[in-house]
Amino acid sequence: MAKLEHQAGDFEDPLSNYEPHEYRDAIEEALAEQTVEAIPSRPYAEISPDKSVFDALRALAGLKVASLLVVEDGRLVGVFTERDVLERVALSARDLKQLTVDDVMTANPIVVHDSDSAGGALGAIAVAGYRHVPVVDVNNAVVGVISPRRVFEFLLERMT
Amino acid sequence: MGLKENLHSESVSELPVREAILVSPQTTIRQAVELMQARRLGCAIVVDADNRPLGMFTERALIELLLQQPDNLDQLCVSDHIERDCHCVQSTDPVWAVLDLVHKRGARFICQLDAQGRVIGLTGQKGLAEYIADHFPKQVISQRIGGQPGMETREGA
Repeated sequence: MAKLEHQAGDFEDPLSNYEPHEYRDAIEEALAEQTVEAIPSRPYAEISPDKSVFDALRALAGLKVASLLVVEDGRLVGVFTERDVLERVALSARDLKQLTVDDVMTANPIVVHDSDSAGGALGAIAVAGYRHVPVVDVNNAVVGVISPRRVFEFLLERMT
Repeated sequence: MGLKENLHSESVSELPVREAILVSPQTTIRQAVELMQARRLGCAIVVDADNRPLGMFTERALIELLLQQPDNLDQLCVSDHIERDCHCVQSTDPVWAVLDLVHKRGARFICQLDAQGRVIGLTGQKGLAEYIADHFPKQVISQRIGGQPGMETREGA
């Protein structure tokens, strides 16, 4: 068996030649080095899955928001957005006061974690194509929601 | 050049543009919704006979309408439910003009017009996000999306 030996003075720091990445501009650096936590994700609106779709529509209109996080027992179970209204509610013949959020929400949505890179958040919106992306912490507790406008706000602050 | 410089120097024609849904004022709500569903687009542009924008029928207007619990979507016309504040840019405007409309006016959809003021496409928040992502493929495209975050503690001994 090979014997591993260390002698004082032989140690060479493996990071001694490390050169930090040079970024073209502050935006590139922010996307790579900063986390989702730096992107504004509050306020956000939430609703229970057993509420009626009519209640959800009232919340969307009254709060002037485009998405609701569907939360049950403190756990994110879905999102209900303007797009769900268009695709699953608008031409439904069912009574909107009988139909529940659970029936029409987008279940198990894509999420980003607050520890993900800001670039990952932009990817969820620009590449994966989601307009409202819930943010959760390491315990999957809801932190907030990000949207294109909130990501642009984050970027604009770093452009000056 | 950096993103900020490109936002000012590049024109709207560099943005990803989607084909807009153009409808006449007499189009019924049901027809507009069916078109929006089929094209997976959150708005229809209401135009005059020369394709100049009169307003926009959006998912937001649809929600307001559904709250009134109408039972005659076949008879209601989009012209009675449009947002007259239709955000527009010319193809030759800088991309910054789109960012400005999104940031300061909260615009989600923005009509791209030709020199005669006719609608030739639709851009907005989605197009702008894709444009910015294209500038930083290494930071954006290669990122993990969804799933579990990295482990808090190292695995194993």
